[in-house]
Amino acid sequence: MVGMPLVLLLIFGYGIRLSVNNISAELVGQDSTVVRVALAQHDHFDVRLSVATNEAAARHDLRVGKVAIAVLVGPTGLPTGVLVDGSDAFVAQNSLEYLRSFNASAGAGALRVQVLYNPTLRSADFMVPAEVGMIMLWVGTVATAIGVVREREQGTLEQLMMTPIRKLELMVGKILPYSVLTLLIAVVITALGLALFAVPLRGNPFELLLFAVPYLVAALSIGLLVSTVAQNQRQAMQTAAFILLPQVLLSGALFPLSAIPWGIRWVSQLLPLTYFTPITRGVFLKGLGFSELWPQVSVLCAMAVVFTSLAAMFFKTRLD
Amino acid sequence: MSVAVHTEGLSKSFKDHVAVADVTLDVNAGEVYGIIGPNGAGKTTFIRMLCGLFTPTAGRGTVLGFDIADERERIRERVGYMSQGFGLYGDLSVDDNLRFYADLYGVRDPAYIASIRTRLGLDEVGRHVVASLATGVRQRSALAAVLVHRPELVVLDEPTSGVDPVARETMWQIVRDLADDGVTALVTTHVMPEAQRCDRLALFADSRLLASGRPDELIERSATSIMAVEAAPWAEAFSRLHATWPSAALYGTRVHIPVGVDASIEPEIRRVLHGLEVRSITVQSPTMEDAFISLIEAPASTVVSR
Amino acid sequence: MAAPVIQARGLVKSFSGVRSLDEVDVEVAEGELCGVVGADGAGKTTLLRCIAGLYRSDSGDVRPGRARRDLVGFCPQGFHMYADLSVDENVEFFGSVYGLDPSTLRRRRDEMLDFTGLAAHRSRLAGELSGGMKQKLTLACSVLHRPPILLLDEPTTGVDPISRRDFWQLIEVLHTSGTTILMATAYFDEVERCQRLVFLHDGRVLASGTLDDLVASGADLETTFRERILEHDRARGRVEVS
Repeated sequence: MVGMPLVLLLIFGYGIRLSVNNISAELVGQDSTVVRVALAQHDHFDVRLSVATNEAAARHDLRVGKVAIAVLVGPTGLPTGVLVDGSDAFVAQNSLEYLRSFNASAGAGALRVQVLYNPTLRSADFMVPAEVGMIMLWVGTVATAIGVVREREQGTLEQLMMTPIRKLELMVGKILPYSVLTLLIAVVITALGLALFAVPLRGNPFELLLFAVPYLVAALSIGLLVSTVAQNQRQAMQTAAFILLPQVLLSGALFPLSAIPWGIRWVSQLLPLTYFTPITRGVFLKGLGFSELWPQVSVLCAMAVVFTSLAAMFFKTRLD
Repeated sequence: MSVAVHTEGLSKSFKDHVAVADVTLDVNAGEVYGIIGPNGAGKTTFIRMLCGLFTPTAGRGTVLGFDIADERERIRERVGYMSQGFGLYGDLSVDDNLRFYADLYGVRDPAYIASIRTRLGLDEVGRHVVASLATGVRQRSALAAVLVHRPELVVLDEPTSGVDPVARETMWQIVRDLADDGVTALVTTHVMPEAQRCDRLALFADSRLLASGRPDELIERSATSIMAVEAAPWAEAFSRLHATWPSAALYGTRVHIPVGVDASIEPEIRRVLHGLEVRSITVQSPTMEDAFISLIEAPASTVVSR
Repeated sequence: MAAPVIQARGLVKSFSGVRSLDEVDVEVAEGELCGVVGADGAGKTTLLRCIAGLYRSDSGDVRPGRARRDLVGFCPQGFHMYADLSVDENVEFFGSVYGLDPSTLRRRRDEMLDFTGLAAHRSRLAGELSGGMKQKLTLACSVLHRPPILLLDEPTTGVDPISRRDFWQLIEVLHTSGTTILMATAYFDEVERCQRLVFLHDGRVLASGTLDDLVASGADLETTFRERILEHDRARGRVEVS
């Protein structure tokens, strides 16, 4: 009763920053000490040691998400241009602001700005892909948790326990319909995003569906885990909400990961949504595929295995 | 003898169903009056109307002389209602509950409250939290809370459900003592064998009053009796008897056949059981449940007596 | 008796440190109808669940137990079916979970619906049935796999007398066709109909045997039980205040 709100308060208080720090940046062209030192001082940027040789290399780094901005340094040693990854509109906006003010105070000329992947920094392009992940999480986890707990309350779970059904069969039986439901909802959200908000889908939708599978399994297994501790539907709802809220806040879906202090960042690394959001944003806005997204997909597969095993361990086929 | 409860054509309908239809009966003061019937027959709705918790949709009634529609406050002051599920605060102690109900009714006589506690055998558990008590003790505590304001009439809704035989006997003793002191007791129950402890009963079925009167009268009116047959081997005997009389039922190793009170089917029984060892055939009086079933299944003449 | 089909020996089961069952012994021979009578909280449901393997007992043996639950039909107290599915759909679902092949399932389903008199209501939603019909549905679903053992937990509690009589007729048919039945009940007039009776009080078996064993001729079963309880409480130094 008191514990959960307290934890949420701490997460809110310490975890959420509206200002963005540690934006990953790199220099392009030459290594300019002036720019490097100035950027490093501000603490807004986390400047990479290496320098991209040319613009093409920088674009590649932006595409695969190694950096969020690339500063083109001219022969004068001052920034002449900036390439920004627009798929994270929040970060993009912030970095542009800092750079422009930096340039102004350094007396350098106008900055040539190019925002990639979301040229107008539309929030819809930023939000809709993330929403796909968030909604799949909500629907999948909550529906599964409530579904199992309801059967327990109804007494039908007890009846099933008396039949020859095996634990794994029972678990799959509960997960399967909610998987289908959740995937359907994801498709609907995507369609609406494309139709109503004109969000681009530059990558392969079938690949996206494929990548969604391990994420789904992880989310639903979490739902099963919730159902093992909840005694009734109200508790299931509360516990699910307790688990979902931090995910939404700490996964980088709403607030950029770079905004989350290191003390809490480790929590983000444990959340499925943290890995699925770059996948959705990558496929929608950057047209990325397996060759670029395999790290995130692998982590999700591992998570799926871990959470399913945990759920199997705690799921009881007896009443006591 | 004065009348504690009087109803005429009392009915209660809800949006989608009729809960109580046209009930006319009288309860005498100082009686133990049973309202018997299966769950859903309208017993609880009926007594709630008497207590002023529901407004009748038709008919009228008086409790202790006061009209149930217009004079509810006067009724509530004089009636104690023990609801099913016992109505106590589970996380408070017995004493706290008693004090709470006493306060509600404005009773400020600690000596009297203590005497109720003693009378119902609750002295040892006064400080115990209600939820931790056994069902029988909890039920007595609920009754104590009801008696705290010296009601003239108590309404007990399923007071012995789920209770062991010792507690059940204790409860009925207390009810009988109350009646002897002049407190009228209306008791509802769906457990037919308990019905026989009442002075008079009303049988409810399907929202209607099926019949009323003394237990022995009602059994007589059902005009049934039971042939109890003991034969070996019992399985074979049962299967043959059941084939001829589908209402035959197995009781342990004996077969009970409900028959009309004047029927003499003994020769036929022997014929059906030809070849088997027939140990005894006796006539037994029917249980209240047998009487109830036969009254329900009798053609639609509901006979009512006062 | 020849190896009992249902057995509990020295069964102990506790919850939060309180013994729900305290060294309980029960034996039911093949084809017998055994009734366990006791008040709420006496341990009837706990006993049935231990025998069915739904609870793991703290100590003592239990037969058949979890390993042979294919031999057991369990008819729990209250309504445990899918309220938003029809009678038909419930029966088909449980039949398939029991592993019945489609043609056997269809046959058994029709048999059970006729047997319980629910055939006329097969398309009705289970949640809309009356109390008595719900119990019959639960019974139908628990014997689809034709188990030789049937456990019934207070099957007629709160059910009207006519449905109760119908339900007993169903039990009698199952009984006379050889099913071994263990039934828990709070009603004395019901337990009188069993061949073997067990008095359960506060987690202990106070007495067991046939009706003739337990009750002196002409005496009342409930009175006999009551006397046993008083004896038992006195022996344990507790006096029930009356």
